[in-house]
Amino acid sequence: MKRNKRSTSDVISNLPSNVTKNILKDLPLREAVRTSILSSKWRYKWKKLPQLVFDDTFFLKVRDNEKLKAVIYQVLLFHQGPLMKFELWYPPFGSCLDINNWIFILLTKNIQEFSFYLEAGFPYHEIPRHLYSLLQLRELNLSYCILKPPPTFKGFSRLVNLDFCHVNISSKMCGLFISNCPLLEQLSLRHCADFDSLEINAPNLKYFDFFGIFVSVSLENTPLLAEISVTLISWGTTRDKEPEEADSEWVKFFPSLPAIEKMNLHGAFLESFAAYNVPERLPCTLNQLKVLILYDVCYSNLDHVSWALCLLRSSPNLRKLRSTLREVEILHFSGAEPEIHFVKMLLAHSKVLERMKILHEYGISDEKGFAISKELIRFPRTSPKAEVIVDVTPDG
Amino acid sequence: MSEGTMAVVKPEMKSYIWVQTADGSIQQVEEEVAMFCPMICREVLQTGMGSSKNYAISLPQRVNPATLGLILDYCRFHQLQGRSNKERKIFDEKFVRLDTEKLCELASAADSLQLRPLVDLTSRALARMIEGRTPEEVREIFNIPDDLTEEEKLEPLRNITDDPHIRLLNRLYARKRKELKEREQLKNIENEEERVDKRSVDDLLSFINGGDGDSKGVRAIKNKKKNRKRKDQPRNSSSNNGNGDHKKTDTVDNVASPTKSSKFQDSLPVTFSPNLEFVEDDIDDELDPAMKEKIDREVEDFARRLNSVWPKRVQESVSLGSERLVPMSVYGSGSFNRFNGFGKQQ
Repeated sequence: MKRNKRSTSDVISNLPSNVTKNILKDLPLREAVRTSILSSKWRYKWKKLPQLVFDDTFFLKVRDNEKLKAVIYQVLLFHQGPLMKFELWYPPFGSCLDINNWIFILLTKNIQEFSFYLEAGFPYHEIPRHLYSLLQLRELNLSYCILKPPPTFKGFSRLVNLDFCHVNISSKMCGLFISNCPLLEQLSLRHCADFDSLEINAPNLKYFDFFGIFVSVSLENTPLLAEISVTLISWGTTRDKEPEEADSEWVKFFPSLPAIEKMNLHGAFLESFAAYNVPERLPCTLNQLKVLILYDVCYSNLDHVSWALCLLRSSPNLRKLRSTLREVEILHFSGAEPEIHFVKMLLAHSKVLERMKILHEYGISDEKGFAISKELIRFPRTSPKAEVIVDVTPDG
Repeated sequence: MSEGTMAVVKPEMKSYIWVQTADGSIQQVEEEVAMFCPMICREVLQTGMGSSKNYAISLPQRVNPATLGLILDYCRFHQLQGRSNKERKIFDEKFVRLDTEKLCELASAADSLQLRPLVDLTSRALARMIEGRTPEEVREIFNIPDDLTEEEKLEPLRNITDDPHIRLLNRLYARKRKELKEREQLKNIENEEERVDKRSVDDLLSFINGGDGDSKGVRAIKNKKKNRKRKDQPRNSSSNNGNGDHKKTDTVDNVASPTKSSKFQDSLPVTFSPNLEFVEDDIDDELDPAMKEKIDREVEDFARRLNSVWPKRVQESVSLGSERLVPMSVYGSGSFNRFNGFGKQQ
């Protein structure tokens, strides 16, 4: 590049296209397209944008929906070359057929990331069949949509990230969908339709986040799962299970998480496992588990506490425990190492703890009891109000 | 080394790589620093160059000595493993406090050396300088010549080459108007709002189809329909010469009509449902004269309304030719008929 006088040279217009694309990529879409009126050289630079993000910086409170849609058409059609990412965030016009047309246009663009977030209050958008032909997809994020994959759909062989929020899809279809995406690493299913049984077969899955309702979940093939978060909104439906059935579930569930490092479990989920037979210890040790978050765990509920203890006993390397307890009552405390560990954790992390009552196993010797109490009292407490009471479990 | 005692302290045993910039000057660079640049790294490993002055690695043209110095500073800092993310961030922020020209040169040079992190850093800095500024301000900052005509500025999305996609857009809108018409027929009572909406869409459609703000537009719609039936015929010449000239784009036709073309089935691995929005078969029955007149009138109406409804400041900030419908310019038969009501007032 010939060097002109420093003060007057228009260097930015002659940058290599890689760099120009990089610059435009960092601008909100409107401004990127606006560069087309800077000069004759800038007229078409925006057309090769690697991504198109239509969000609030684009919609800018413009009320004329038809106008907005027209512009989106134009931008899509004038865009040239491959498009890595397409995002449509809370369009003010809601669900409409035009969206399907836009997906159609994306078919020719080798799109890798597709995100479509509709707002609450609009009718759900039924995703057209075009979507299932976007075979280069690596990331798919949908919100307030209805999914009905056709029988010919063989999955997205390159999909790595999947995020469904308020998506209507049947459990069976969902399971199929997931199992047909072998490279899937991150899966998030939040507020999706009520699932009865959800089967997750995802050999590369590392992160799983579920928030909603299901009757049972089974992790068929998830050897690499490192982080899991399960929140059941309502456990009513899970109560109807037979105890054997419920038992068999946790028997399968935890062993399928050999690599788990972080667990974020909602009380109702634990409850769904067993009404009667909470094990003392899991059949497998959760060696990798470092962070355990239990919320909405009702510690006066025997099951919950039992499960919490069980998990703790099975997690020798646990580093962090988070809970929102106010009152804890631990019965049949035996003074075993994991339990002491548990109490220590609770005291250290329960910010709103008001009272912790630890009731020894009946029959424990006085000395032992005293020794335990001494130890427990020394543990640091986060909650200024925490009161620790140690006593013996009443007889009977 | 058994050479007897030496009083001189030996210098550190660092290895250097020889590089040559486009202006001919050759210099030594610390090896570990230089190898941070993928391009240099590759040259050294693949060709073995750089070990001596005679075999200096020729750096790409865009890397002049001053810029090289900057790049090496960057590499020298970042190639050290022990630095924290915060430290790196602070360094980066200070590093890009350069004048625009230097920044551009740096971006360019980093790109030719394939030093991706630096390209990203400099691009972001440049983007920040553009963001939130008016075109005039940007031109001033970067010395960009203001060489577009006023007309061109109003239609920034004009396509110089005919694009089959534009025709697709055309069809889309035609289809849409049909749907709306159907809806209209179904309903006996129109409420006020609905009328306004439909009217505005009708207007948009007629703009696109017609190009001109007069009744020619309507004829064009009719003609298009005829043309579609005989796909191989060129488009009607009375409107839209822009389209008539371009080469046959059967691909677009095929793409949109699933039933008619089997060619399409091979080219796109998609099966279309019968409800495909992009069906072009049944677009537009002939419009009745009353409708034609209605459209003509409303075209003008719309323009006037747009101008008054669209607040000035939004007009300014929305410089996509201010939401101008591009197809308008493409279909404007050669002589672009700019609709005065539309868009940015200059």
